[in-house]
Amino acid sequence: MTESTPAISIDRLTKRYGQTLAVAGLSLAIPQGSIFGLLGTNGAGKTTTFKCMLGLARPTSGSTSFEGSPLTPPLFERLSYVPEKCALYEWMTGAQLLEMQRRSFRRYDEKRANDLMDLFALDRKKKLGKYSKGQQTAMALVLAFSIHPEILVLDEPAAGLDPVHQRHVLDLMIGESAGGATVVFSSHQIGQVERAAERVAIMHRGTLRLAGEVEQLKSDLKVVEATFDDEAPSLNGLSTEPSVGQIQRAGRLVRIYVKGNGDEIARKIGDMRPRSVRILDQNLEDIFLTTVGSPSPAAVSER
Amino acid sequence: MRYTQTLRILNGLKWFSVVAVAFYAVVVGIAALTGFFGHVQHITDKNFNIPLPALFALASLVTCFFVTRFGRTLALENDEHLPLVWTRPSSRSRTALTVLGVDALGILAAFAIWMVLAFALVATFRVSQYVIVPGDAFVQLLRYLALPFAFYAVLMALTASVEGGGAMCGWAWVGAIFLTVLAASPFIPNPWHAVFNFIDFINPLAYGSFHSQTGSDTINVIGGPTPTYVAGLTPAMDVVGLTILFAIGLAAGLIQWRRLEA
Repeated sequence: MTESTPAISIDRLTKRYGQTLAVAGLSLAIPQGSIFGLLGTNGAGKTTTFKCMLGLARPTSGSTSFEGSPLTPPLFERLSYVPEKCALYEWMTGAQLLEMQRRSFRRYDEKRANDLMDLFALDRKKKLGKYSKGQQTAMALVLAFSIHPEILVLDEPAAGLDPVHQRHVLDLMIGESAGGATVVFSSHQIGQVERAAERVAIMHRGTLRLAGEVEQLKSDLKVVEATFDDEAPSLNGLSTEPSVGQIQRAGRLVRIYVKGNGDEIARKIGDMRPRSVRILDQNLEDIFLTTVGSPSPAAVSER
Repeated sequence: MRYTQTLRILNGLKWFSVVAVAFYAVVVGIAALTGFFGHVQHITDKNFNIPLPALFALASLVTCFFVTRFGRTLALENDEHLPLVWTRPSSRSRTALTVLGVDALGILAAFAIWMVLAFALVATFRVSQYVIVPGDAFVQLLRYLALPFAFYAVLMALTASVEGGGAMCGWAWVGAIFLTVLAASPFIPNPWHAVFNFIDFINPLAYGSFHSQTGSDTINVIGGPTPTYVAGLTPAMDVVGLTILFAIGLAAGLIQWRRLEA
């Protein structure tokens, strides 16, 4: 294994459930030590991708390798997974679950686990069935982080957590990555992904729509926003421009999502005598929404 | 998984022991209230005896009840716990075999608890002189130890690929009893009678029937003298049959478990 060997390589992964194509030919390379965000709408295939990666579901075709090697049980000594549904043993207490973890993993760090229990304010003596949904998620995170994993796969890790604990999760992920761990996570909270992830991939209906470094994507993609005195004119002429991704009209406002710096499009809009034209950076939410083709409810999409 | 399953088994044994003690208290209480103690201490029937294998058979049957809870462990894990179980540094087969190892100790412990209860009742009623140890007692012990293991493995095979498996275990009891009735019934014409008798070979409970008759004194456990093909086997052949069922059930359970998807 060399430093350039990706921590996780997914090669043309396809998963079908009967007639439903959950993941279609997904290929990704996740660099070592990076924080990688997987974004997608519900049913995009994120959870199925994680399950196939970790051998919890059999891919219809394609493969996944970890540091260049296929997944084997010993790898789980240094890989942690927090599933979307944290089905812990509800009849166990928090202390018993930690004991289970201690007996399963040589890397288990008791002090770390205790610190995390305190961080998330979890009661060791309480049965897990009495924990709230957020506390169960937190307990799963305690298990995951207690072994100092080298690879972390987190499926909606902050779901059900309050904002304070959501911040803790982000800090933990960033901390582990700073220590050399590779973190792959999915989240519907794009702000969190933008805050933590260095790279993202956007999936839609089982396919990969966009992947790259967050800063690079943001610098490559702009929004040209124009306001007109009256109803915004039709911009059909612009829709054939190769750099234009999506055009949204909402009353007097027009937003045009473009690849590149947007100067050319701004100039053409300027010829239509708007009240104002400005070129804005796209944030990750803009990039996500344009990639999956979902305009804001008030807007009319022309492309 | 060893720790998790040990906790499950210990909790199960705790309740099993509570039931055993409660059973003892109820039996002794009823005997004390009805004057049955005096009757037992003045047995006049010279044919009266308590064959040790009958106590084995009873303990084995009760252990099968205990096994109903634990024969579906793989199905319990399949009830949304697989992401937790399968992301441990251990193969699926090893995980399942670890569970089996713990369960095996639990089965032996349950059998032992019920034998202790049986001996406690014998001592309490002061009838130890009537307990007889036949020449094949050791083979019978093996037979009645093998029965809950075979039942466990068949339940594992039936439930390994379902979620929870509780209903399946309940139906397994209904199926086992119904099959024995069909195989033994003189009212079923051939070829169906023969068909049900052959199917009965995969029914673990069919291997456990015990019958003893001394004069007018009759003891039947788990079906007694049912006229089925399986009932005609010798105790040693029963041990072989139960061992084969155990091996096949276990293999079928493991194969399903390895092929599951979370």
